[in-house]
Amino acid sequence: MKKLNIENIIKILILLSFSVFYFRIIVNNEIIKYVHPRIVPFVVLGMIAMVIIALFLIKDSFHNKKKKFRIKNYIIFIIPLIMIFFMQSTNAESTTIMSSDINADTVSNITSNINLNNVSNNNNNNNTNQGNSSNNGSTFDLYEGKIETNGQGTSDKKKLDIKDNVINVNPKNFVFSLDEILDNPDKYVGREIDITGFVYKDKTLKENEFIVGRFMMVCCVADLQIAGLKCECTNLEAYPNDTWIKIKGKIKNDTSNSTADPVIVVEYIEKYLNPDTSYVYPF
Amino acid sequence: MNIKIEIVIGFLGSGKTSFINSMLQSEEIQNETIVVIQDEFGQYEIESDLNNEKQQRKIILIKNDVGKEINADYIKKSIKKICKIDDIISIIDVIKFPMYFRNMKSIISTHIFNSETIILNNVHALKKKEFSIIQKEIKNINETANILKHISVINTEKIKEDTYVEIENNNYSVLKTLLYCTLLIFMFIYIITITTLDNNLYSESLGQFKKFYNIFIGILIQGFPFILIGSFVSAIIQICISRDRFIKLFPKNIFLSCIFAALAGLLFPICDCGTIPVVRGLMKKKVPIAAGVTFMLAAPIVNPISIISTIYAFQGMKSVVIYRVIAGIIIAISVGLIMQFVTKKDEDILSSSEKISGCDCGFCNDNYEENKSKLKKVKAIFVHAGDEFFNIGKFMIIGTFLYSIFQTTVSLNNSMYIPNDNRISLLIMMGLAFLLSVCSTSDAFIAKGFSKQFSINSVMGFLIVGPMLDVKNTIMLLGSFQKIFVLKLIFIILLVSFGVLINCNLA
Repeated sequence: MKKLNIENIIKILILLSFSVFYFRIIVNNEIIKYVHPRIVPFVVLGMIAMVIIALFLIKDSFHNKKKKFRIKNYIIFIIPLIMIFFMQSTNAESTTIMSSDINADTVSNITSNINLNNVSNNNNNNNTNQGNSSNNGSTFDLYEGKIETNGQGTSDKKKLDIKDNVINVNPKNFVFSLDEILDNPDKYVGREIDITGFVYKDKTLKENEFIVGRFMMVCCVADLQIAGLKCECTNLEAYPNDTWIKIKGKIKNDTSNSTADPVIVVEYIEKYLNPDTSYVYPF
Repeated sequence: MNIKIEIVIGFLGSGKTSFINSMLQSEEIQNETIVVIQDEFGQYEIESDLNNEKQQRKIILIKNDVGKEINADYIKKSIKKICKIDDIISIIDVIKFPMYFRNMKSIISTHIFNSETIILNNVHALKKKEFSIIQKEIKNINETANILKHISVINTEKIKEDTYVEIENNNYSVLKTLLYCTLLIFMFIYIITITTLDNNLYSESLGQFKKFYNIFIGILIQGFPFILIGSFVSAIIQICISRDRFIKLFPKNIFLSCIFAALAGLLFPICDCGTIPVVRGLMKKKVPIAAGVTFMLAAPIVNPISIISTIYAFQGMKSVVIYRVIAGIIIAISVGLIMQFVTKKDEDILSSSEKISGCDCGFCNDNYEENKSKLKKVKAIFVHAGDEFFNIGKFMIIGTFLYSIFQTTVSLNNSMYIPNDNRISLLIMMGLAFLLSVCSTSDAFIAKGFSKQFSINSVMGFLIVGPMLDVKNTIMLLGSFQKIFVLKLIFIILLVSFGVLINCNLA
């Protein structure tokens, strides 16, 4: 009997297990937790390609090349597989929660877990020179809208979703609305706004301030940022970080710094029990 | 029982016949029947007359390089059934080795690559240092072969006796594997403990680990498909386009071909990780270095997705987008041209083990055959893409691993020193680009975060250097090209982009 080509078999196993992993996260839609939807077709392609490569390798694996090979090269591939295997089994509970309605816990889980603490230049604009020394080390980048040179908004193609003089912000138009409001603070002063998101606080904010935000993804989890608007709420119930809330309020211009920044003065706030926790995408 | 075949190869005068003679004298095989088939006769004769025996148990093929190349066709299929290649022995005269290695690198490399045992002759004539260099060279090409050295001993009866002693390298590699194993076991234990113990003490490290895991897996998920696409492009280039046609495709003028290469990036919507396998494929086809490097550097910047993301991130600042693309192309072309001049003509830039592919698909060598069937072609493409994927993938995993560690441990904050000097801030941005840039498409949004603190000029540094160089990328480059080449490349990229960016004034 001929011996099997062990090197090929290892390759096939690695390829197949990666494609099974891809298949799994695509099927239960976990993939959007990791990458931008734009990349999903590429992932599907990659998965199919891996299976085909594996099929072609199967044909070859029955005649044994005598050549020795280095197992070391393949150990590297096995490391992520082991990690995936372990994390998948531990994540099982939180993903089931994810699909059910109680989302607050999961989200807090995510926040505490994927704290991307690079370059937190957040609020530098809002609170210049205040609390600059705060290096809490667990902050996300805060997305602050597009940079405008002339202060005039350029995006005229789309319009804000305004009904009965209330600006509605939903996950679909979240980033766009944010940009529009941040770019043209004067235009929307006094408007009412209806927005959902999670509470985000850090040390650069004052006691009665928080940010209502969502995670924004450009390419993959590694560049997750929080996009949100600053809110001011006096004598209303304060919610801890990462609670999903629904807010109604009026936009006001915060002119305490040299620049004008829109701030939502919260008039009504409630816990939002089954929010749409999906990420938002700038494009 | 199968007939065992041992193939002995080597250059003229490297000592093949002497080796066989000493092998025939050894006591272990005295009772076996041996046939020696010589393809060429040198100055020494085989001393025993064992050829007459009827029952063949062992055939020794002796080949001198003047003859035909050994390949699978040489031993026909019917023979294949009853024979088994037991060992391929390559004999090298270490004194002549450096000379051969310089002049006939491809021939000697294939010899070394295909053999399982390598015997070094005349070792005593060399100094230890020279010998270790040669040993390293051989290990580079074939890491798994047993290397033996020839020692002549004059025994008690004053007769010269040849022995072949294995050079001991194995202890070291055993230690290494042990180290890897213990590391793996540690990781296992670590993962198990943090997943089973769920109290507060561990929750922090669990959080850290999950953060790390998320970044790591996220990048892998989005990176693998791009590497696969790159591998396929590379495999198709390798297999479907013959060298002559390829050279025709590229303009003769180096400068023109650079511009061509820079714009070719527009057609490939792949990130920086996908371009490296493509460039490797190009280099194997002997495309000018300038064009290859230009393509590698420009493609991530000019690819459609990253242009769109730059437009989105810097809306209202069209100049940033235009500057990014133009400066990117200029830098890529100039780095490409400089690399062309600093690398010598016949210098190998691919890491040496990549040069000889051990495959017998018939598509890899230069005398490319058109008459292979379509199915075979497709199969070859897939198998090659798989090989490429495994080659590049491992470096990508290492790079991503390091990058994820950076992301989870290094934290920059508001109190970061913000220099007023344009030059220093540009340098800082370039350094951060190296550490922080994830993927050319998302670089724009990360860069935007900096634009409040840094001048737009230095942010350009991030936008341009980020896609060209980052941790993951560098590891992948180191894996597939010669170290000196990569170091030169990095240095020149930094130098040129600094020079270009410091002079471009973006209001």
